[in-house]
Amino acid sequence: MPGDSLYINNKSKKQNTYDAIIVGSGISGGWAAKELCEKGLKVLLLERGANVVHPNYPTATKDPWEFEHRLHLSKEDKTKHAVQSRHWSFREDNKHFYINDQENPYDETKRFDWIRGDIVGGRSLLWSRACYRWSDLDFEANLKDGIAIDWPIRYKDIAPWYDYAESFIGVSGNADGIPQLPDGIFQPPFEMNAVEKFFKQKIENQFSDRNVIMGRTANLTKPVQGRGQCQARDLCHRGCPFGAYFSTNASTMPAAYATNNLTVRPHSLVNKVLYDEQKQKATGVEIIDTETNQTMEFYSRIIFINASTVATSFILLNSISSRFPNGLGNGSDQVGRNLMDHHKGLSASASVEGFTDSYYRGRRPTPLYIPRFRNVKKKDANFLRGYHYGASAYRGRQEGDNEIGEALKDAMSEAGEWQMSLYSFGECLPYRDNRITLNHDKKDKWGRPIITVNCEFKENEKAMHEDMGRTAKEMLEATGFKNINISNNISFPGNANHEMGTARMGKDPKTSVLNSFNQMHEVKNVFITDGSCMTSGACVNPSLTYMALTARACDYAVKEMKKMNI
Amino acid sequence: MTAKKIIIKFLVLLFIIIQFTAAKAQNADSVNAVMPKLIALRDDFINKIKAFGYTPDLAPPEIILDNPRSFGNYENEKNLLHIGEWNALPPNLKEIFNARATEIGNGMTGENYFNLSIHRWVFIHELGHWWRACQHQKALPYANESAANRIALAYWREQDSAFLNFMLIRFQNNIKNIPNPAPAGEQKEKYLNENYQKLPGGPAYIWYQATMIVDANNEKPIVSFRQAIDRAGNTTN
Repeated sequence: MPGDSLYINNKSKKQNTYDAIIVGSGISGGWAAKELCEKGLKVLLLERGANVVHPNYPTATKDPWEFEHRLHLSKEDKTKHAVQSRHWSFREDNKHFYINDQENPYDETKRFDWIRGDIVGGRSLLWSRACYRWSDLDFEANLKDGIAIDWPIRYKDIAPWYDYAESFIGVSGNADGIPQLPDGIFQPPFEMNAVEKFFKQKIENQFSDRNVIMGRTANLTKPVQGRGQCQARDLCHRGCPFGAYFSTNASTMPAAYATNNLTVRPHSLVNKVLYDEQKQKATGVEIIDTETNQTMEFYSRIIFINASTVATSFILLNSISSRFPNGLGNGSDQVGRNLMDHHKGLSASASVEGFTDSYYRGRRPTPLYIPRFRNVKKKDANFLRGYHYGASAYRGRQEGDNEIGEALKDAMSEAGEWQMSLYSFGECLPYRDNRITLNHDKKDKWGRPIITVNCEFKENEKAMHEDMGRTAKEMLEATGFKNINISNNISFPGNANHEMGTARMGKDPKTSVLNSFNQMHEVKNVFITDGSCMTSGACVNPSLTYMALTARACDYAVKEMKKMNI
Repeated sequence: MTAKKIIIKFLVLLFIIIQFTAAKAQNADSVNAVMPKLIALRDDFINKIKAFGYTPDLAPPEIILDNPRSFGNYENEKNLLHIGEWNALPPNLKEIFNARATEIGNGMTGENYFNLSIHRWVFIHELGHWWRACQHQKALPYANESAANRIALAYWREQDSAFLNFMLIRFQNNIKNIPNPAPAGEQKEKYLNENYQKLPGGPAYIWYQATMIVDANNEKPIVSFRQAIDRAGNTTN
């Protein structure tokens, strides 16, 4: 039984003992490493993927013609990465950051696009960098709607930690004064182009409930300590040589390393948490070294599980003991349940006449943002919750369809007509039967049970999605743009990369896994601060909230350690 | 407090002291190995200046092995020269030197490359700042850094041209591998001057140093170390 083994090699155990173990080096794991190291703890950061050290990103400065397939995917890529290639951002220039799906299978009862990084830094290298605060519209939603359970925190609890996270990572944006999208501590915003300014004016004049704002993004518009400012190259997905966008590799990990308290162990696939029945505590983790296939154990006083929602659920469900026959800290039977992701799939575009004397510089790393306006002040839709839009205006190239040779080149060097495009992300409710389970009849190459994901968007999401499309058309028509084209197929869960909810926070241990400080109700020295902790999903991008919750949980954990409570 | 808790606290404290002492001893060994070489290089640099007939206003700077964020830093107010030390370098920074050493090949190790680039190039560059302090030279950061680089270039051109050529290849690679960090349309000099406190410690600053060095190396006519010292690294007297 895990945790019951007799340790013969005491020297080895001592060498493998730390104050804290963090599982996963993505956005929240990196934050946990920084916070715990800066508070003086000796930290072991375990990552299943290979090491990537900032600024050694192999494709960061390559030109398109330096890639064998000119940035397109080969047949082999699509076979090896059958799931990853379902996502638009998986490309020839960053495929080395993603997991090999052939070697890491899972079962999809219904299609679930599990997009996974397989490197130190995880998806912090691949994220879209959108940084928005949640508000009490989100934290009170479950309570007001009578859905699932209430969040154990409110905006006031997390607001100082949003300040803290934003100050460190650098978020560019405007203070827009929108209650459902609280302002933060911002660097100067990126600029709107002429068509976007026109769009903003038209929409805000014609729809009193809507705001069009510049996206808030973790791309620096001014340098911070050792990190340069964004050059608007639109190559973030390759890793930024300046560290101009927030990633574990460029931001939190160097800070953690600087304390000399951090040990990073790549190629370390965490299999289970070790639990001591007598002490009623977790004592460490069991890992599989993916290079040697050896099983090893590491020990610590506290453990932060930040493996990303689905993988965190696996670890908990696979950590079985007499005390927890259904998985670590799963007395509530909520581990693996309430899996959420944002639904997307709207693509709305229109051509814009005029503005031919206007252009813009660079490829801005963030779109405009239209915050949620449905069901904000009153219930005004046939569904619960709401959605936000992203929007941008841009000029393509002249097509030069009838040209060849020099004439074609000349035509292509001229800017084409303006286009306006919209997309949308909507909230998914937490459903008990959208869940992750383990199939013990099937094993992966390391002999671990296979994950089964059974998740779907239901009627509320579908109704919301229809409204997204109708409303996008309505707004584009209101601006007078032409040739409006709406494509509105709802995405499959997972494809928004915002998996949440499988080890939710709550006040009652009978209905939740974590308390208000992300501490497991039933295993006090285990904390979970990745997406699995979320009690609802909002329609707001969640990463900044993970960072704030992580910093807050680390502060709490260290205080509890000092009080000898854990 | 119970007796058990007191004993635990005592044992934890004892463990920390032992670990700290062991770490200090290991660090002391590596400092003992590195420091004589740095002192010899510092004294050679200063003795050459004295041989030109100068009596420096400042004493030779005290050398502190403490890993400043850009690997080297001359602290004017206290006349201290801070320089990096391999054994105390965090693993992520070691990894960067290891990766560059692998690219160089020929059996180069990360530690060797660190010693070449930091204990030779950066160290003399920082002594260039010391000399400018002796000469009461003040300038905006871009001009100040360029001047220290001209002094370092001139020193190595005369002392070890093979080493200089080796480093110039590295600087040219830096420029090739790191895009210009100044925003489009903004002068690189102005951008560094305005962000000098924020850029060191990251790739953007490495690009700047590499660019300044390559630019200075292309300046004509080539200046001798004597001329560079006479001008305190400026392009004119």
